[in-house]
Amino acid sequence: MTDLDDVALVRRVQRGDLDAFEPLYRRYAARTYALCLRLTGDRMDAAERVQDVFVRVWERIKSFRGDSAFASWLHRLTVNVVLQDMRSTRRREARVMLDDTMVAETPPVKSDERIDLDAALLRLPPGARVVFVLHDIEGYSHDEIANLLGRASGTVRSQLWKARHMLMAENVS
Amino acid sequence: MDLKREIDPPYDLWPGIRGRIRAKRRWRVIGPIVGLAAAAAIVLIVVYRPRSVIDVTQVAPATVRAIVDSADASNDARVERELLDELELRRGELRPETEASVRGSLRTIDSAITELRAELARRPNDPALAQLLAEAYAHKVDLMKLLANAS
Repeated sequence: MTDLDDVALVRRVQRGDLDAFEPLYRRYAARTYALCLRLTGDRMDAAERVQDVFVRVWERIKSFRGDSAFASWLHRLTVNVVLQDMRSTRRREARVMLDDTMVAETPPVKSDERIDLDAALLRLPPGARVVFVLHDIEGYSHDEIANLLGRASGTVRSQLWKARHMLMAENVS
Repeated sequence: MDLKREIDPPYDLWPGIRGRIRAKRRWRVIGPIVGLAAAAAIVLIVVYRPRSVIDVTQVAPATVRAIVDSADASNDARVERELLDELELRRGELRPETEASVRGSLRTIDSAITELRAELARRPNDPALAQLLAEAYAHKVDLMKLLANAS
C-alpha cells in the first residue's frame, strides 16, 4: 500500500507539485534522519543533511523511473549526499573528515554499562563510523563502500574491524 | 542490536526544505533574465560607444579622473571573487544554461571594461566614457547581488 502511495505521490512531485512533496517528506523524514545521524554523528549536521537530501530529491525526482522502490532510491541518494558533503567539508576545511584522527568528544561510557548502538556510534571516529554504518547496518559491500569513499577495499575492512572492536569494547548490545 | 529504524529530526525540517525549493524556482525564473539583462546592457554599452555625448569642455579632467578612480575602487577584486564563489556555491542549484548565461554575462562585462579602458587611454578626459566604465562595474556588482538575493 505504501509503495502504491509512494508511486502516486512521486508522479505528482515529478509534475512539480510541491504539495505532494510534503507527505512524501513526512513519510521518510525520520528514516532519512536516522541514516544521516548515524553517518554524520552530529544531530544538527544530520538535520541539515536531511534538508539537502530532500532538496536534491526535488531536483532529481524526474530521473526516478520507478525501477526500484522510492525508499531504495532515496536511501542511495541520502548516502551519496552525506558522503559528498563530507568530502566537500574536508576540502573546505583542509582536514581529513574520514580519518580516524578525529574522535568524538563525548566521554566514553564505563565498560560495565550496556549501551545502545546509536549512542556508541556517535563516539566512533568518523571514518570507522561511516564504514560500520554502511556495512553492518545498511548492507553495503566492502567494494561498494570503497568505491563510495574513494578508498582501498583493504582500508575499508580495517576501519570496519576497528569500529567493531571499539563497539565491542563498549559492550554494545 | 538496539537500533531504531526511524529517529525523529530535532525540529520540523519541512519549512526549510520548502523555502529552499521555492527559492530555486524563483531563481530558475529570474536566472536567465538576469543573464540576458546584464548581457543586453553591456551589448548596448559596447555597441553604442558614444563619441562624447557630453560637451568635454564643460567637465574638468579632474572630475573625469575622479569618476574613473571611483569606478576602479568599486571594481574591488572581492566583487569578482564573491560572484564566482556565489556561482560555485550555487552550482548544484542552477541549471547549466543559467550558470553558463551568468558566466557569459560576466565575460561580456569584463570585455566591455577592457574596451572602455582602451578607449579611455585614447580619450582620458571623456566624461561619457568614464561614466560608462562606472556603469559596467556597477553591472558586475548588480549581477552579484541578484545572485546573492535569489534565495
